[in-house]
Amino acid sequence: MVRVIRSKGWLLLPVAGFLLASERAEAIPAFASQTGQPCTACHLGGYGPQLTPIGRAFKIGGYTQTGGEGLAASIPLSLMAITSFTNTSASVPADQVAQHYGANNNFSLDQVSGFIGGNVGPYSGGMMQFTWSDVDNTSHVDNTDLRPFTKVFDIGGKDLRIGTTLNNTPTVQDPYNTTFAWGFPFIASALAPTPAANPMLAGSFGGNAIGYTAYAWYNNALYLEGGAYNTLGSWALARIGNDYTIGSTTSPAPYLRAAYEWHWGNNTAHVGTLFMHADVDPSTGVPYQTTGINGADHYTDYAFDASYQFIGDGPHSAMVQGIYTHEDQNLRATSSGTGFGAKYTLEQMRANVSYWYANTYGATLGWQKTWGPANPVLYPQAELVGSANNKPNSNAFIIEADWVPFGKDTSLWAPFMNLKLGAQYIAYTQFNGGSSNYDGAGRNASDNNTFLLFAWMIF
Amino acid sequence: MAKYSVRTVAICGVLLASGFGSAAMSADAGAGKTVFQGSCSICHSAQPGQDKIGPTLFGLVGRKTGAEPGYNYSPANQAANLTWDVATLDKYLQGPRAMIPGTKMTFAGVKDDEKRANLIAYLATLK
Repeated sequence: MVRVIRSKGWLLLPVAGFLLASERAEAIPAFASQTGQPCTACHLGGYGPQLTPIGRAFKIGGYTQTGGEGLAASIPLSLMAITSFTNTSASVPADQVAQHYGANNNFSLDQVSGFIGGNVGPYSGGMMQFTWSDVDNTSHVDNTDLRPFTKVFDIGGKDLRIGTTLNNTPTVQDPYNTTFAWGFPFIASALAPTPAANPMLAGSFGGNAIGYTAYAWYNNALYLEGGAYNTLGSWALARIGNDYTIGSTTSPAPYLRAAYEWHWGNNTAHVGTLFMHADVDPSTGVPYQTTGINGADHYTDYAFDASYQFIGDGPHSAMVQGIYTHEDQNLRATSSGTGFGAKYTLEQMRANVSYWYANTYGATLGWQKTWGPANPVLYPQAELVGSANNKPNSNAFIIEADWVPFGKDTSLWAPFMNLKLGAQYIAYTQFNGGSSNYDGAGRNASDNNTFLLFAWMIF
Repeated sequence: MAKYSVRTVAICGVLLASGFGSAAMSADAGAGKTVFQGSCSICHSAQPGQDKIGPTLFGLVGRKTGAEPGYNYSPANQAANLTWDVATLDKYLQGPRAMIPGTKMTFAGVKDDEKRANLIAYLATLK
């Protein structure tokens, strides 16, 4: 039985891998050229992806806003590179070291991305990212958010915008940075261990699905969205460089989003909720392969999020945001033959507070806690990445300091030259179920404490 | 287009009277509406009383800076003490922050003379 349980341990790895990739999210100078706006208009801190009210309006508007002039305004291309140094409190076990890297203190070229993004006429637009990573020497289709049609209607003197999306990741189309595809931390080490458990909304269909949703935005306040996701076939996934994580959908997975936003003075705030349910044939462990021989697994996520943002007339701006997610899991297929039960739950809380001075100097404190009952089906014992007690519990505090020297309307070569230099520290008090010897191989949660120095450039 | 023809003639007359220049002579409020929708509508409404990220532009021409009731203007805008007439708008829209440093309006501006004239012509219709 132990062998059967351990055979499911690979389930953890693709999810963790996607989270590493997806948390490097960004804005692109091509949008600044198209709109005639500096990066600071749409992004807190003058650097993506944290959106301001204008940034949210631009995104909900389907990336259709124009206003830029000159040749650059018509070139929808941008290029990005991230390089970093990673230190963990204890070295990674020798048999878990990434190829071409040491067990600790590594410099890495984390990713190089190309973007195509902008409007196609007044009613459609989109953004598509292609990423290559030197860490695992792979390339893939990254964040994709296309808006085939959007239009504003006048309803009794108030704006009602309706629109449609085609995207490849749940929440990549969401206008709020509380959600997962564009949530904090915006950058993470590609080499440090990360907790195994995350709700489905946080990456299980990242890049391996196609989502089709419709939305309405009334009076710049009420946002409603509904649609569904289907995973792509193995042939397509092999060609775009993404794989299944929890499995392939057996039917359209419904996705619902509602949010309401208030504006007063220099302040904005929102509350919102998300829902997603998926029936999946679990992955087999063989790339691009799933099986329905034992039936399907079922995941249902309910999330509640809120944020407050202050953007002053002077140099000060600040943001507080959080999201709580509850997940019901019915792992009928994956648990089949293991002797374990099929029904589990998972809870997660993410919150962060950030302050920026002059959109140049920033500091962010973040907290991420995941918990739930012992789940030997998804969280088996395994060195470094597993859980000795089969619990998903993790607790992390994140502190990050950033310097963004460019990105303002007066910056040199604006908006084409953009750089963020930062230092980030993640402290774990709990990791994959425990504080000490969490993996049954002698590793402590604090051994995974991670110090990251990074340089993030985009042109 | 026909919708604006009478207004356009009248606006051109105003623009000429204000010495707005040759671009104003051919100002097309219909074309200006397209500029507004593409470049301005993300932040500004053309409806009375509907402030968005920026104040409504309904009734802008002839209004004092910082004077839309209920909108939270920057101190710079409130202190500017200008009247949004055609000449002021023409200068402002070439580079908002060059004319009023500290304004919330980060938009780089409309450098193209014809586009700018068309936009101002459209704004003048919002009454």
